Amino acid sequence: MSTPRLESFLARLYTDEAFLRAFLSDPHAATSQAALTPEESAEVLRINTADLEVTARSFARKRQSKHRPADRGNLFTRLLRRLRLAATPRDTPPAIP
Amino acid sequence: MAICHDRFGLGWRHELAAGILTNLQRIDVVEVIADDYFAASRKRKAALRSLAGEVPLLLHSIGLGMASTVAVEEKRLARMARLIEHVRPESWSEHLAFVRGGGIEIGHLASPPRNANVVESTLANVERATRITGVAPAMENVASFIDPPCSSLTEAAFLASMARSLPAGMLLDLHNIYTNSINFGYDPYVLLETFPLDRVASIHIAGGRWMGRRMLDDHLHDVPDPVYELLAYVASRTARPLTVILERDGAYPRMEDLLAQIDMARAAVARGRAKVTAA
Repeated sequence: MSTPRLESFLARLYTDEAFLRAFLSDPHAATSQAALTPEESAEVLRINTADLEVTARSFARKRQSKHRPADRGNLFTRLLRRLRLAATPRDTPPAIP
Repeated sequence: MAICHDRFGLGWRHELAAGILTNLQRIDVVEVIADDYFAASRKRKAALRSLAGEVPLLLHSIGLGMASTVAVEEKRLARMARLIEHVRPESWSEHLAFVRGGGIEIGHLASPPRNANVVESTLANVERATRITGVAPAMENVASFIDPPCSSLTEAAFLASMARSLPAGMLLDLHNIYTNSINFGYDPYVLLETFPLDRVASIHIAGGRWMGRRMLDDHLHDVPDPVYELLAYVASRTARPLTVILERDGAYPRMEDLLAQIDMARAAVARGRAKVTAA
């Protein structure tokens, strides 16, 4: 089975460093507090902890690397305009802003 | 729209915009990250719509979390629907991943438990997304370091089951299959042998890097040779026209290097097609 509780538990393991450390040091204690089904708990206890740590680190790096420059679209808009202008006869107004 | 020939393109990134726009004669299609435009100004969205008039454009969503036992929030799907309505892309896609749980945003694509329950709930999310956006999304396989708990299906069985049931088929990421074949010790050709390739809507290729004994799908490196070989194999096993997208998310090389990788993908598909013709 798979449930919203399991997804919540995994999301916390992947994002909460303190929770991950607690799980790695005492997986039974961390799992018993998560309201998982016995089957889910047993499955979670079988997770390869090295793989889990690499996964959490990888997701942390992804979160840190996310950036959205505010002017990202301006260059895009300018380039499109320049492209269209280059291909458009001078007496015809460009079709895009 | 029916696609009648193989096409090769590139993921649209801000840093690549100039190179893409000046090389459209060598790029058949572009794929745009939808999430980058949800909060965009009217001007940027208009520019995106103009781009869709210049070159076939696919929208690629990364934040819906469709492979979840939780229904995707309607507001997220409505936002996607508004963008689709505005841009009128050729098609759109999402991932076979969950991205949040219990109010926690993971910030990336987490591999879901592979079981019948997740297959069913994912299909329900796809059905809702189709109803709200008016267009069925293709769904992409993801890479992982971790074998998800509560998985009763192999990756091959899970992907084949999804591919057969999804109305718009699969976005088959060959680097993700290559990566998982290394991380979990299986033969990627065996997976592709059982995969219904007539259900492939499009293909991603990319590069990654080694992390000890594991492979990371980081989209920061050139496409490795084994991925081209997988692409040739796919082309040899289906007569369906393929749309192949090169993904690059950083450490950008010269545009000419990216175009060379697109040409290598063309050559790989041609090799595969030649095998079909010769057979």
